[in-house]
Amino acid sequence: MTPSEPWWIALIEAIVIVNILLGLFAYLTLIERKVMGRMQLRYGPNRAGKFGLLQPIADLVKLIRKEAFSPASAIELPYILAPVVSAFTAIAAFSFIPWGPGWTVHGWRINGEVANTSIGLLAIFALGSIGIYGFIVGGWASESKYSILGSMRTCAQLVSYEVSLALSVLGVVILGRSLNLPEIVARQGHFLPYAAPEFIGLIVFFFAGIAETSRAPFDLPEAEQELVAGYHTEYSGMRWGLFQMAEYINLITLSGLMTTLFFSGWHGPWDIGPIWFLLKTMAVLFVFIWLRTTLPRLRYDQLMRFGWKILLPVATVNAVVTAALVVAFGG
Amino acid sequence: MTAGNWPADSRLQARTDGAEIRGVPPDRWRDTVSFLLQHGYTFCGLHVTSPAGVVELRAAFIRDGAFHMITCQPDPQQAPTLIDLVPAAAWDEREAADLSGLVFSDHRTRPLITHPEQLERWTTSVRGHDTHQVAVGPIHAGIIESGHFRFHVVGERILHLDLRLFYKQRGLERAAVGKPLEQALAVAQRACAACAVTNSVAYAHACEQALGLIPSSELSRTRTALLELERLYNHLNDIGAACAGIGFSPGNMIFATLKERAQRVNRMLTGHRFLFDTVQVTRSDLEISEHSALAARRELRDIRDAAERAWHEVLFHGSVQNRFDGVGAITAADATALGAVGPAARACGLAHDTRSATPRLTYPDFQVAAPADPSGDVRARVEMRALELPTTFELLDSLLARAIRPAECTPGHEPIATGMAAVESPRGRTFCTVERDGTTVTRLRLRTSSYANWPAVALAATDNLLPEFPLINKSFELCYACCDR
Repeated sequence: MTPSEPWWIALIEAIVIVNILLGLFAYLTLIERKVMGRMQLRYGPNRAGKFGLLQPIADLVKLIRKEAFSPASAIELPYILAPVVSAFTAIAAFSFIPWGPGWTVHGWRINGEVANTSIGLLAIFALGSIGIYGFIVGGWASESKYSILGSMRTCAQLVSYEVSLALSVLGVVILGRSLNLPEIVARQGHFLPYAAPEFIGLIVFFFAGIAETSRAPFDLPEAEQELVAGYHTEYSGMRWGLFQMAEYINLITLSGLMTTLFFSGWHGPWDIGPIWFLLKTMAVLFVFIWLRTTLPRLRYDQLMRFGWKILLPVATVNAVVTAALVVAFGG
Repeated sequence: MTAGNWPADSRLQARTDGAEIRGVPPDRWRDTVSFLLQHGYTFCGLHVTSPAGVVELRAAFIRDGAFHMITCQPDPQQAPTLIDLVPAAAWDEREAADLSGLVFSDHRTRPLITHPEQLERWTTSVRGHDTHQVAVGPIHAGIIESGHFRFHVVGERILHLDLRLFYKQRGLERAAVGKPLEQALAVAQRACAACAVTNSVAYAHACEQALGLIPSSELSRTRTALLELERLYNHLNDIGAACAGIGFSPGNMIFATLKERAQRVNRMLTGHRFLFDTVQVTRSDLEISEHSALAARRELRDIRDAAERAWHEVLFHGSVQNRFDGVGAITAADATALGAVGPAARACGLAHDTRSATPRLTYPDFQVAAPADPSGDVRARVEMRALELPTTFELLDSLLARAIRPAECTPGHEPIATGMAAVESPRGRTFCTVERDGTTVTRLRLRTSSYANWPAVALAATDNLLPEFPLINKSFELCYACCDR
């Protein structure tokens, strides 16, 4: 019997993972700006350090030193708490993502995830739902027209696409017969990546995921050219930084979840465990950046039409067909 | 039209080749304007001047490249208004009222250049459930000039937009007064960088008309080439800006790159990316060698090929077309009433282009471009730029076929005190009036295409979503500095 992970190892693991996650977030912003720059016939950041490698640190220093301005009419407590809630839930959600099979070192068990629970998938969705409150409340508490428009859009968009997102993974849950993410990955390792049998679910998950993370072309809650900056228009300094952090970590979590649910997680032709997970996640992140650089933003009515009239029916049919096939052929 | 067709009590003040000026009694002011409109004249601009301390109202009209100006000496407290006859004159009258203290009758003149604190003095009153206002500017996130937009909205839908521009009245027109004609050119040029050549050429033409001069064919060729170089980089920029308005980075970046290349051609040919100081009154000092002209033609052909490929990319992108279609539409009737000019007017189906009737420039057999579907929306306005680019490239290729040498005007007709000129800028017709005393400017009036088109922007925004406004605004791509003269 595999020994369970002692609490102090879990604590160290959590500290290490949180820091890796924050580092990944910081350098994801650099990678994104570099990739976008290259795709748009320009260099991207290249002044801070060699190849611009110190740019995230420069950004951090700038944000920390910048005045955390708040409008006189802002509702203070929710205004301050909103970015904290968003950042906290974003980091917490990643703790359920399995990035390795787990190891036993000198008799001590080290898990391949920070938190292993039988309802890991549900927990991620639940934390994501709470994180949305940060975006909504932040815009509302700013007492600004553009912020409130951004908040309303966040509310409508995220609620609309959350349904499709949840339905898109139902097929995977049915095939994996579990809500426990390490189990779903292990089952794919013995079978094949669920991207093959659940290809439609993957597509729906991908589009709904872009909308859930408010990424271009579904970045309507922010819509830089249209709504100034949407719900975080009135934020500056590290409060704004926390919102940015939440958005990017949500993106990393979503990419990690996609790798976990559809691309066999840490499994690969060679036994390099977490490296596979990282490579697959980075590949998914690259596609998100690519998409942002390629497509124009949708109009609000187009976004809603796509969500309710296309994604939702497709996700529903996919879940029903998967369930019927599993019942018919016994999984 | 002959003098015999004019209302009986109009008095001919001056006439020369392509221009006629008539004085009318104040009580016949409106009738004369109605008469001109009925005879197919288009309103060009209105201004106030006060020679010898007497306030005079002047309105200019154009038909087939010929100008007709009417003047009157109104009662300063009861000047006749034209707004109901020519809605396009609204800003001119408001500006005249602010600058001269003239009071126009029959309508409540709202301030244009002065900025009262009280909201109700400059905004339209909007009432009803769920209506609210969103204020944008005058300071914007981008590096642009100051302008305030007051949106009256229900949810995200715009009921009405009040524009509040004219924040930085630079007094350019006043600064020109008393200067020699040659020196005041710099004042006209600096009204706006993006239309520097247009403003300069319009000013130079107005001066030359007043002096009774006509440009030689070489001078005309030089100025036409400069105008088309200006149109080229502006059109490339405007298409890119529309792409930026919907977050379509590839389109934005490609056209921004092409614009930069076009501006480098400008620098190679003239030493200035914005073509500053390339126009002079009565002559041209610009010299472009055959070698430079050839290099420019080669680069322009490359830019043309790249622009065509980029435009096909934009057309191919269904998502881009979906964002442009049906947004910010104005009808041909509204465009006519508001005096919209340039690509914005042509996108509504109004086939007006000053280049088709401009004897002082070199536009042989010029054909006005027209969109396949003149729907007057963002798509049509952006498409107009793309449709006009081939003509510009062809013109430049032929105008730069040989070296450009310094050239001068030649005496051509009787000199008069007031010269008028209209030149097609990238945004439409820019109209310039110069009044002189000998070789000194006594009044300069520069009515740019941006000035003419801003009211149409406000109308185009109505009934659209608030977040669509930046896209609508970029599809006109007007200049704030043109108001801050």
